[in-house]
Amino acid sequence: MNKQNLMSRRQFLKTALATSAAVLPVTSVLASSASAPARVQSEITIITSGWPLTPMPTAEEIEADKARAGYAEALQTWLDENPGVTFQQVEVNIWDQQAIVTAISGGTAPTYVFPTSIGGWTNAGARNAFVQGLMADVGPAIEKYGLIGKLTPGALSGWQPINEIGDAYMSFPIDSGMDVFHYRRDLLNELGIEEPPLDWTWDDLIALAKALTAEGRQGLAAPTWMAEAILSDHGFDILSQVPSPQNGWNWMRDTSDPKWVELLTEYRKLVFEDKAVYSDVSYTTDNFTNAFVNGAVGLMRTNVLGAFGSAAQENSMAAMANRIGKPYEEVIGFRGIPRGDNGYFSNPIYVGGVAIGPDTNDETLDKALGAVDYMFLGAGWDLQKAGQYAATQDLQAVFNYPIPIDGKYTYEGVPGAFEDAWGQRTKDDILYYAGLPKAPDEALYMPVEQNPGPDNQAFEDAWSTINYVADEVDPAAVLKQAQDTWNSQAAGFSSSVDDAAFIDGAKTYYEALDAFWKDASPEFYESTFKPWYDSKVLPALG
Amino acid sequence: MAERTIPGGQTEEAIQAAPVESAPLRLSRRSRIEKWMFIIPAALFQLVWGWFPLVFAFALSFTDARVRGPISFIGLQSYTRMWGDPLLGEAFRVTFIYAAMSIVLTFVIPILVAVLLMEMPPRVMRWMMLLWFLPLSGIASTILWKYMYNPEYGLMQGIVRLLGLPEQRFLNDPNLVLFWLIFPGILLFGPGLIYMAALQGIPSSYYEAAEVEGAGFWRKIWTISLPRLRPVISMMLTFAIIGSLQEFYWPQIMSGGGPGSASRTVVMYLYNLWGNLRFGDSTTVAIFLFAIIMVITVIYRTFYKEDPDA
Amino acid sequence: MALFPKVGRNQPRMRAAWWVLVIFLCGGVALHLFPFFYMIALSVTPAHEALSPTPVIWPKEPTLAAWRLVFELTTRTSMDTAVRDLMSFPFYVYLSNSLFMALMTLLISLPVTSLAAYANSKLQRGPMARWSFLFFIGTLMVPGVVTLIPSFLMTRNFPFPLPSAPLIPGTDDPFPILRIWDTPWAVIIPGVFNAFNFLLFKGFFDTIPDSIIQAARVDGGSEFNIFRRIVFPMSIPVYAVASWLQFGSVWDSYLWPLVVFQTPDRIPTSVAISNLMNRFIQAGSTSAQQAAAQTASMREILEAGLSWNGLMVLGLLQTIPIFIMFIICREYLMRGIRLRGLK
Repeated sequence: MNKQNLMSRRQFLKTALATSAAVLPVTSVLASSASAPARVQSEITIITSGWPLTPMPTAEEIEADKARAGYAEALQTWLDENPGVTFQQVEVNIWDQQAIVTAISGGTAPTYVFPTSIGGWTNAGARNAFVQGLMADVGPAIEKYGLIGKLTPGALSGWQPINEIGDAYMSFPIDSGMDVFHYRRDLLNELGIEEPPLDWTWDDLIALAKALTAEGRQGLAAPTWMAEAILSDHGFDILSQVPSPQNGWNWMRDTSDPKWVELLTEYRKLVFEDKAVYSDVSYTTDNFTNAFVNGAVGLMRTNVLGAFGSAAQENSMAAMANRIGKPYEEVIGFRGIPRGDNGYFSNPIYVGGVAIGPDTNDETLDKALGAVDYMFLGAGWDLQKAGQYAATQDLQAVFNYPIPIDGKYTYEGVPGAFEDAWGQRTKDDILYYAGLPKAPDEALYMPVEQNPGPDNQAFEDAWSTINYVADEVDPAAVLKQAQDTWNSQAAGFSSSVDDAAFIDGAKTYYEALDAFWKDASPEFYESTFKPWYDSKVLPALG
Repeated sequence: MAERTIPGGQTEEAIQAAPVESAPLRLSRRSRIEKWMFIIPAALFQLVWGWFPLVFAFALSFTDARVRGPISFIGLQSYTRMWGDPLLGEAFRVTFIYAAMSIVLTFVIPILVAVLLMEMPPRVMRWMMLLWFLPLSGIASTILWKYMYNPEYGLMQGIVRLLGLPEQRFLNDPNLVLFWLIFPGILLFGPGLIYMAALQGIPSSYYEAAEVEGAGFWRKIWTISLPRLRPVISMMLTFAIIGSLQEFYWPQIMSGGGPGSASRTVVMYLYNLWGNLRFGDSTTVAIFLFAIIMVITVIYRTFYKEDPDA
Repeated sequence: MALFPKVGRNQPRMRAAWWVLVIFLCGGVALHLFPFFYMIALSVTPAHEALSPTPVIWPKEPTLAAWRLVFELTTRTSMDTAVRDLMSFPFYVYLSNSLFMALMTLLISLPVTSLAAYANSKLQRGPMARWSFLFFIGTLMVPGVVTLIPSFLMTRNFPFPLPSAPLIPGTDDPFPILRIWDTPWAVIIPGVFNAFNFLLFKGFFDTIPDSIIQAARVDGGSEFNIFRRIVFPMSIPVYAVASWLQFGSVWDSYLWPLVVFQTPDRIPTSVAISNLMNRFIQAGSTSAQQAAAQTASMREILEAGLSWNGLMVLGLLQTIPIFIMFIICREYLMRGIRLRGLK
């Protein structure tokens, strides 16, 4: 086939005709043989699209690229311990929702899939997809490989509420990240601005955004959901949702608290009066990163996963530090999600995992996750990292996992540690935020919902309006409209959970929340949570 | 374009040669068989790969359609749910405005440019077409237009300031975002190749005859070029109606449907539903849209007579 | 050369009007050249400058890094694992897959579609013509995503749009099925009837006066001979346009080939390239959650150093064959003009 493009047109047409004549009978033969699934073999074939593991590199590939050697050594060690297992590479785009859902519908999904892309990039969607049977239960592997004991408490608290669904588990964790605000430490020093404390608040953030705003530079880079962020960092996600077991869909939204309007008004002031916000309806995540590494914004909310690219990557923050000519930690600083002025705080740790296609048999599932366990959380990880270091001598490229889920910040065979690549201060700050307590998540208390429910579109529209529309906008009306739209959409859905089970689940959930906040933030508890709990939740649950 | 007779009747002489025109078509037996042989292969493919999956998908709108596991019939639940969805109504409103605006503002351009381009000598035409169809990466134009529309430093804002007009918010303005999404299509005009193909079929004797009559530049376009293009225009308009009512990609990457819901079209909403794995609901929306487009097409085809000789 | 009068073309007023027209058309061409120039400029712009808030017209520090990266990527000569992982085969493998699919589709689709359009335009009358018109274009009225899963399942278990073939009633044997999934035929066969081309052809055939066909019929030719001898030669320009458009659409199609191929060396260029590009152009995330999840998916691409400049080169690479096809088709498109020029 490879010479085809060199042929003349006439030759090509001839070949094409001949091929078509030849291929037709072949396809019908294929068809008759295809009815017996090719995967039922005594040997185990793990089908991968290249993530998180690739098949064994060939000797030639290792020769061409020394960084492969570590990976090959690690994988070979595992394969030797697990005879009869082979990896097969297929071309399935597991990051494209339509492609992967379609593949699952026909039983052609690879062994490894990415849960969040199947669910339309939200955790709720991923859980819904799991409930619909689009992923296999990885529970047996979680137990067999003793995963829960390997995770740090922070990683466990980020992973469990999303991945434990009833008695089953959706994904096997491999890495984790966290939302933070990155800022230019060198700019702060230059301008003589004091660094915000670790437990900074939204008031600090707004003041910092204003202070960093100057000719040619805006204080804060803000995607559409920044308007939501200011609310959810004050507890909006918990406080705007009320159980209502008497309705078909068991939840209602209630945004009547005047606090929200106040916050949105303050945020709009920052955008439209102070002009301190870098934001436009057409921007994507890349625009913000680029603005930040170009010095056009001073403060940006990102996931730390995206922030630890080695200086060898042109667009990374480390590369910017190099261009400025200073060590990374003198240029880049970060703070976690700011606290609300009502005392609310959160630990938005995010744990990414690998899920397994639903047509995988038990044995293959076990081996596939055994390989992941070995390569990411076992001895294979160190072998890979040592190989990578030997080939690149680049500590930043080696230590690109800022919040290892097993808490390991040094690797056997790599001279140096995370802090040598990124600085001690960077590591200490990460550990501070990763160690914050996490509020109970409703997913661990409520019965599993089998039916799809209303999505968040109505509220996303509200944030977009708040963020971009410069004309007179009444935040109260916008919020009210989102709430009403959501509630009227919810009226079209019915829950699979019966009222009694719902009320039981909700009671334990809210009791746990009550206990948590009483202890974790008495200020939030007294000023906001308790009055709300007494007036909205308890009456609804009877 | 409602004109159905051509002023200056003598230009029509050439094609009045065979006056069997309006007689009902009577085909011989052999021709009737041939007619079916022309149609059947296409009809088979259209039936099997076009309609069959479609009807199958449509049936899912009465179920709680899931990708795997048992599916149960839920009757009209999806229909009542989507009918009552305030965001869907809003999406339909946006779609209608977008479609109407884009047809009014951009449909005529390729016709006109094609007619004018035909005036160039072949050598010039060849070069112009070459440059007009230089390969362009879609992403490049996205980035370019995002720059152009930036309310702070974009080129468009520069032009607005230069003209002394009030500053615009471009894509951030919920009232004008649809116009700004269509605007690049106006500015980057080009010839419609299909019109160029059809224009070649017009014998130059028509124009010469019209010239003898004293018809000028615009009059010749109006009385000869456009009427002869009428069937092609009709088909392209059919397609433009269908296509613009299903607009999805451009607003999605330019404004993501915002601000608020000001540029979220029906198909965009349908994709969101699909993305939330609500297959039954998204099919229901597709059926609403299908019904509307079908009705519009039938109405339009009934009133638009494309036969240039009728 | 028909709108300007033959007589008096040299009058100053006519000449002025002529030049106004030339300038108007050149203006249009220039407007098109600008995005093209811009694409080239972006391809030599360093990644950190590419999306900088001040628009880039020509980069401060032009670099050919992206061209080099793409060269290494497509020839698989890179020393970097991350780059090598982005594409599993040398580019010519994908290129020949695409060529085979696109040309095969044209070869089968053009005759099938155009004959149906001809029959609908010239041989059918009355309600029958109207209904078959709607039958042929009706499927355009539904967004593709709706039929994605059933069509996909049909390539697996033709003719059943189901995950597996049903059993023949009363036995334990499934119905026999035809599987075209994971072969080029899964792209070619569903593309045989092309509703958009049907519109193009139908519109064009409608412009041909019935009288010409009637006259030939009186001479006693079969319908196919009339089509072949009289209609087809007149229609070469529209075939050129339709070929180019369909070639382009098969060449660029992404989602469908993405789901019907699984063997890595069978995918077309559009899939190989768009798999990389699409992750960049996803419109901004709508929640922090989504942003976090997308960061994970972008990581491997960024680690390979691929950025906007590389995408421009890839985009160019993807569209060049369509452009070549355009140049070929343009000659046929202009055939009528040349003929008329001879008169």
